[in-house]
Amino acid sequence: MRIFLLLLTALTAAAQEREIGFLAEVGFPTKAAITGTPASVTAGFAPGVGAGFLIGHDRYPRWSGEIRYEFRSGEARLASKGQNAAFSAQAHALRYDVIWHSRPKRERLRPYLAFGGGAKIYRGTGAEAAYRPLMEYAWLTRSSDTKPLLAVGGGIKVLLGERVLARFDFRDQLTPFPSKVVTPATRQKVRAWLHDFVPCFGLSWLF
Amino acid sequence: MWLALVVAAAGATIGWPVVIGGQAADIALDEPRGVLYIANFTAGRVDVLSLDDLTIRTSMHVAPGPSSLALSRDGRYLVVTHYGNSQAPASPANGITLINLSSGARQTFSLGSPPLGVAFGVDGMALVATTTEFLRLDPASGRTEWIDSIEQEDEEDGAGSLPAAPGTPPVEIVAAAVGSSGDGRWIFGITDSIRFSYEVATKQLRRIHYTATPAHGPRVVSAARDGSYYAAGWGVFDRQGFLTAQFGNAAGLLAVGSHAIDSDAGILYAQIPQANGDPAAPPVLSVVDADNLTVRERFRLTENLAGRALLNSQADTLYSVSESGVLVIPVGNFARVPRITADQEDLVFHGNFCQRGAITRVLRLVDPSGGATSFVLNTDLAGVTISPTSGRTPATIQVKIAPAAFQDRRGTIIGQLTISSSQAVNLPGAVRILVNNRRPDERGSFTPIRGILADLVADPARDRFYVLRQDRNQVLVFDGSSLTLVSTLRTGTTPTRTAITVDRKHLLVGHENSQLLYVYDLDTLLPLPPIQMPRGHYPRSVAASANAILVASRVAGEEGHSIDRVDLVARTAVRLPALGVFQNAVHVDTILAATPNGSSVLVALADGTVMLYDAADDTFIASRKLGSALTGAVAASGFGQFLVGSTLLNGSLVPVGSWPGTEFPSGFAFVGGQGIRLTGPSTATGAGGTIERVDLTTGERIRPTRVGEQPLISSGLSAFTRNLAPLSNRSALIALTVSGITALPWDFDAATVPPTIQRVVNAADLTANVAPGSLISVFGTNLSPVNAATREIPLPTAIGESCLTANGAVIPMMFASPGQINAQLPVYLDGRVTMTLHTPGGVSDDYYLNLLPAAPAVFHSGTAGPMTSIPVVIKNSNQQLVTPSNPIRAGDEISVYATGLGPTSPEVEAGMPAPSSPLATTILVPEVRLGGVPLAVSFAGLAPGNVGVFQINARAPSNLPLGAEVPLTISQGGVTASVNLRVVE
Repeated sequence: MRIFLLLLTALTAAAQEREIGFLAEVGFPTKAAITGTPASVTAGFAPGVGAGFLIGHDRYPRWSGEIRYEFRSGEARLASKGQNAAFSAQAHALRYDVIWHSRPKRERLRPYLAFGGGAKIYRGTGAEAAYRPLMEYAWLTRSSDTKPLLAVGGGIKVLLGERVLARFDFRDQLTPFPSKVVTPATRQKVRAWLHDFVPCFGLSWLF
Repeated sequence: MWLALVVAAAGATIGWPVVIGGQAADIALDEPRGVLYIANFTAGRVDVLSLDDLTIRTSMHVAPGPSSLALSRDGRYLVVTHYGNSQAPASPANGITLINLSSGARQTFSLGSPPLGVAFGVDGMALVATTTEFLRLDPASGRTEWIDSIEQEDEEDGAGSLPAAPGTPPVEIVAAAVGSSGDGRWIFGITDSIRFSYEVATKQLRRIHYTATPAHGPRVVSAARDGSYYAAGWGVFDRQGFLTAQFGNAAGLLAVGSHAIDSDAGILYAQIPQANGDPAAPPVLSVVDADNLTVRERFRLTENLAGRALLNSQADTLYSVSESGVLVIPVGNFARVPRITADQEDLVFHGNFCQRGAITRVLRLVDPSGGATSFVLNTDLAGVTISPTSGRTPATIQVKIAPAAFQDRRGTIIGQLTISSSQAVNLPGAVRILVNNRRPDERGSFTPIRGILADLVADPARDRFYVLRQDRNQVLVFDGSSLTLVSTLRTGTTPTRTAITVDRKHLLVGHENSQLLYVYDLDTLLPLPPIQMPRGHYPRSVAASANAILVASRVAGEEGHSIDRVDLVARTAVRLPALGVFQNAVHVDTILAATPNGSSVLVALADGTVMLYDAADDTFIASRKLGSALTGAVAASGFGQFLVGSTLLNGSLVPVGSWPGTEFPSGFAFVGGQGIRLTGPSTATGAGGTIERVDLTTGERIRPTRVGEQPLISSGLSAFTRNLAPLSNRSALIALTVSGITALPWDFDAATVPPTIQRVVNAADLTANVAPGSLISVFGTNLSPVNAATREIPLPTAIGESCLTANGAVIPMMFASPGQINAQLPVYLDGRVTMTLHTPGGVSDDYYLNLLPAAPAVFHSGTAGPMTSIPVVIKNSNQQLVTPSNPIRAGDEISVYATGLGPTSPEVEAGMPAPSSPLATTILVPEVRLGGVPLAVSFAGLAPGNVGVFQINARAPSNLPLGAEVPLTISQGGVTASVNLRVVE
């Protein structure tokens, strides 16, 4: 939070153009394999829709930056041989992205590339039960796990008016596997990075 | 206030009689005005009873013979019918008085025929039934509209003439009743020969002619609120007039008794006098289930009911026409009136070859209202000591028997402990006393089942068997391995016989007092829609062949009893026109038995006739008269042999063998190429029974073996019995015997081998640490001939023909099987203990066991999904077992279940359940740690209601170590038990 305020202060002080906007997204996370068992078991999170907001600055012709917060509600999942287990879960992501635009400011269409980092908090929110299918491989728990987050991707900004900007972008959000929420059972392991492929639509106000 | 007076003033009966000085014929309840109108038939007036103080404030003088009343739903009009069926020289004076209760105005109309009854519908019109027609009366205009005529053959209905013979009550003179549903959409009625239903909305009147023996009494109609069913006389009918249930053995008196339906509670309040009842016995109001008439409770009434009964809108007060006029019964107050109930239906005294001393059982008498109600106890069994024999509730009664008093008698001796009370208004059932001293040469382990057991069938596809409990209208579903009750299915009224369909998917149940054949899905144990038999047919016995499902029906009326055919898919039943070349006329007591492969059905009639249905030819291929009467066992084999009583029949039903004797042939089963025959004394006296194999070719009896308890003999409803069922997995033979079921080992006649004890461990984690009071598991060989578990409390000291001693004293047992016995160590033992097992095969060698003062061990009997052997640690926040997917967090409250925590205060005797007040707490408080961090223990003691099971309640602190396998340790007296639990943030 402290970093966020610092960035915001700097942004305000230096801003030529500032941006605040809302995001709607759909996430398609990859699954990770549970190892240590002869069975083929995958763990991960279900695709789901999310929302968020961003605060950005655009003081250089081709470089800009923005802080993004994204929230998604869905399910943590286990799957093996047609059997599934699910558990309600949430994800909160907060990061700073650096953006390089292929066209200068004030162009109506501005394709861009972005990379950034931050943190993602995974939370299991379901009701725990003594038995859940596939619990011999992994346990779905009402826990919280904070993981570092890397994000790369790109998109296009479309200037709709003097102060209104729409964007379509795509990110790959990478985090280590949140093993406090989906915990491999004793003698099982999961060593993987979770990719989360996120197409996103945003609408911003420039000031 | 007056409700309390009703009970107090009436003493040991319930109901406040309002004496009207005449004889009431009908009543109508006007709650907004706080009055009850009473048609005083003999005095020629309508008495108005105040509901506040139960006094008659005013009387309305009306024309002679007020016979029925109806109050319009808006409370504006009261219609009074006048029954004036006078014979010459007097003139008939039949009529109607219409009273406007708001203005006091009256109109009187004459009727051409005697009125039978009147009721208002939701349309504000009154339906008037007379002996010749149905009329619709508009109370506003006074106009009548003809609805329907009563046909010529019905004209006798309600035609009691005046003057009547002295002593004839009004209800008997009119001999008809009419009543409406609570929503006013339906009106139902009954006369001597028809029942009718009238749908108010469509003005459709439906009449059903009936014949009934005995007469349909009491002559009262009461309907469910939505009109979906109604009671008339001793029967309960659906809206279409189909009889779904009836009170058995009804006397059929028209003017004694009554009933009223409480639709919300699903119950029926009824006084139905019994045929051959004790005339000196007090009148009884029964509270029964409305669907199958299972008796919930019975109360002594102050006097006989004698006509219509009405419940008030709160359903807490019942007003009924009675002998004195009206009886007011505070049915909503039943929970607060003095009553007595016993906590057990049976007191079972099983002596055995371990124990020959006195056996004591404890019976608790309570008044559910919480009062101190006096009682007196008596028994008809000599050798039984009761202490105390009288007192006040709540009371703990010690019932003791000296086995020596019964040592010369084999089998089970049955007696009764009767409970009487001058203060209790209910009729507490007698407690059955069962005394059995099994000898070493007798086989069988008993599971007591109270009540009338009518039939037994083993499931050919599942490890289960089914027992019909006739008095409670139940199918009892037992697990074949543990002999424990796993489910109870509700049946119709008085189930008689059962059968399993050839596809093994459905259980069919016939009834003595319902015209429905019940069907259950055996996979789900759920009821399916029942099948309506042809009108008047009571499906007493049922059998399923590969082709047809046949039913032997008792048929009301003159049609004659018959064999019917059921279509399970179409859910219909029809009377067969003929039985092949034979007439379809069978004895009322006819039993059907299908072969296991469904190829044929044996039909045995109590008059001595047998018949054979062949499924392939779909006809009856043989019928023969075997004698003047048949009784006892009935069985059919899949290889062309049949048995009735003691006679073996071939495929043409020709006798090919018999086993004459004085013993009653109670059960028979074809097993492989042999027969297994169960016999017993022809009376219920204690003399044991005999089971033997018989060679079906030579008739030779092979190794007759004594059974520890005598099998059931035929009951009043049927001369036939089916008391022996081999389980499909060939683990045991189940017999219906006088105290319930007796399980016999499949090789009941095998040479016996002495038992061997190999290991004794605690029953919780199966380690060697045991302490006084611990639940233990004994492992070895030949420990018991059969698998058997018990739900008896206190625990018995013998199960499955086995008994276990510790230092020579018998100890309570809960499970026995050939390889394992579960039992509880007495709390008074310590140090080195000698354990010995007694079975029919002999006595084991001594096994020495060292007891620790305390030996905590956590149960590993938890299951979750397919997971088993989970430590029984419960997370209290969701009441589920702690598992990796339900981990512990800081602050969680947990309950740990264990055994072996040593002595408690107060001390609880082995085999007895732990008390709930005061709780039995451990004297030595256990230390509980999770990952080495101490937990705050709020309770450590015996789990209330459980035997030998300790419960430790503790709270997880905040500084817990995290992990998937954090050890939870319980330490006591230097002994530590440990289980691993998952702990998370």
